[in-house]
Amino acid sequence: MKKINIKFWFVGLILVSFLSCSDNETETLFPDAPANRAAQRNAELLDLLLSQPNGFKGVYFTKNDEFGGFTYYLRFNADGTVDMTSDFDTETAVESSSYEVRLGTTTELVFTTRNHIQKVSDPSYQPLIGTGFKGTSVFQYFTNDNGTITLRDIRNRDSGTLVLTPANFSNFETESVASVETSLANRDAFINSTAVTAFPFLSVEAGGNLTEFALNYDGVRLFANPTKFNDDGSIADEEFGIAFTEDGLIISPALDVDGVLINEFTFDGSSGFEYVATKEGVTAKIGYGNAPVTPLDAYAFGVRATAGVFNMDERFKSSTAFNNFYDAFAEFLLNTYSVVVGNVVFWDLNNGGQPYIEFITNAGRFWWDLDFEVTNGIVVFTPTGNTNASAGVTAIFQPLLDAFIGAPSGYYLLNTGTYLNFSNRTYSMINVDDPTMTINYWDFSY
Amino acid sequence: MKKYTYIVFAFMILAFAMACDDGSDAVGESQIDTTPPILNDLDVWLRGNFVSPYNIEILYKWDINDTDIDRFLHPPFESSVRPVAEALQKAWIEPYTQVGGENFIKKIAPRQFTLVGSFNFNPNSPTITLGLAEAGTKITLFNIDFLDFTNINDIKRPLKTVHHEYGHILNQNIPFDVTYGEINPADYTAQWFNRSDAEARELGYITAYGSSQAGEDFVEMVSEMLTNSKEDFDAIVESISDEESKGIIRQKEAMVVDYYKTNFGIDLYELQALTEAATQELVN
Repeated sequence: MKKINIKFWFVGLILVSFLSCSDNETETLFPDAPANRAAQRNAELLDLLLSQPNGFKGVYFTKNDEFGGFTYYLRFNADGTVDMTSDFDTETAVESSSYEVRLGTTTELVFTTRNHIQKVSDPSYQPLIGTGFKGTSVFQYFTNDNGTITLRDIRNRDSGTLVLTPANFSNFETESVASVETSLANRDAFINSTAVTAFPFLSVEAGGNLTEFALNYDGVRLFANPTKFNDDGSIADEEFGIAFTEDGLIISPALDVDGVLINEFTFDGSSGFEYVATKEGVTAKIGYGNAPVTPLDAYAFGVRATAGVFNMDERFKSSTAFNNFYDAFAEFLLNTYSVVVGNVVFWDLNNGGQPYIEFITNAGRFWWDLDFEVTNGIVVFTPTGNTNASAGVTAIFQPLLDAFIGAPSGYYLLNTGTYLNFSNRTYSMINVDDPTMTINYWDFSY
Repeated sequence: MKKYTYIVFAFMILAFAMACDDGSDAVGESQIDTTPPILNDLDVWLRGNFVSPYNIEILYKWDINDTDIDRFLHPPFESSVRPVAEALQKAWIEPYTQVGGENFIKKIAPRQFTLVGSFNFNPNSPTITLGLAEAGTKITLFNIDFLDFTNINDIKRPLKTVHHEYGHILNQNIPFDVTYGEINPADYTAQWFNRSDAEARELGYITAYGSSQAGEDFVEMVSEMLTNSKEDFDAIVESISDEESKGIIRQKEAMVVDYYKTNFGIDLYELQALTEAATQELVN
């Protein structure tokens, strides 16, 4: 009995021994320990950041489904400081702050104290109170593509990106500031240039077909919502943010034209005011045209209200070209004749009376009767010749009369919302022959 | 024979056990990076003036987890940190230490201050949050980049927040008398921001925020007393036209003073004089 037991023990022991020695471990997924791999990933990003003694150019879209982007230049130093400038505003001086490369949810670049990069996350920024541009100070390290580092906003991984490319400067301090001041000027010019017309557009030409969109650019959010009317009357649109650079602009997300992704445009002033992108047989343009590419939301001039007053309280609704002209003429009147124009008003537009335009000045009120006709959203004025102004006064005010009622082909009419905090409507008249000249009015009836 | 069999068994078991050990599980050096962080001059100063003497950490370098991740906030300028820290030192720590004893702040204090550069706008509300206190352990101060240290009212802003939040921390250690909240509970409202401070005072609350609930009412009294001289505080109370409301605020003042004296042995008026003098000295 004992011998039998011993044999069983032997067999059992050998079986257990074989099983215990069997190699049932899975293949090693990673070549190194987790802590080492995390450290290596952090070191990889830190080394990349420190590899450029003259820093990086950064294009940062905080949230490309709501806002455009900004251009930064950043120089990372081994002592934990980063030098930075940006085209966010006119305060472009290079400032120093601190940064860290940390392991958070993954390897992260954290701008730990305030600098230019936090201007987009300032919730007291007017007029985006409470959110600013919804930016962040914490970026996840995403990819390194031959030195181009892509980082993503930890909160908006799909829509917030900071892309760093080597700046290749010889002098970071001077060249970075010069560059952001140029891109800031480009961004400003896109709204305020005297070459800007009332009709910003996006056009896409592919395979011989030209598609034109009204750009619908929001200069505060730097965001475009191009729209077009399809043949069946439906509306198609795109959405992207715009970041201006030294020599062009970048849109995000990229425009997808039959699989061709377009995102980098270069300024071309040769044929107007245009940014052009050409890639794989597709040409896209963002610029300003001389006529609307989609029907305008026309103001019912002569129907809706009895009077229209030149909108001096919201000059931004008139174009820069017109404002420049008006201010120069006002200065001329003041300096030459000590005359100040207080108001310009269209009267008796819808009450059966004789319409007229009146300049209300400190030297008296001068009016000129006129007739007008509205056709397809365009109003054309014809002076009747009846006026209370002498020939000499009329001659003095002729440039102003030309601007307000003298466009040979008339003025496009466009609804532009409400007047200040009142319910009165505002509208623009856009010179058909020179669409850089837009004059805004507010209306009332009596 | 049996004896030899057991010996053979023992050797075999030993051999099998050793055969399976390839030594791969040997414990080596730690793989965790324990490199000390880079400390700048400000970090060194903060360690010397807050961490070492009071075990209080001043956090100013951004960590998204230190604040509400859904708010749009940013870290402060490095240059904004030390003036605020010095204000805490001079107008909060030192006066409390002087009247409460060397260990008062060491024993009862938040362990962390988080300094945030930006305003903290409250969503769907016309208000901003100036500061937060969390479980008596941490105070967060917002908008420190927007303080002008040549203006005493700007200096008082973070101090109001600290005295307010520290009042909460003291209350968490020793609760105040519940009858405080029964003095004039009728006008407590969640829509306190629709009232001005002057309107709230006419109802018997020292500030509009104090009219939100009893706990806030109590610490708003503390905060207002410790950021105004006795003369200024009395002037505020005497400016109230409604005599009943004036009396209510005086009744609350007495309860707050008694709370400090009974529970901590602190003469609040002496503390008030010290904080006022320190605040005046902070003006550049």
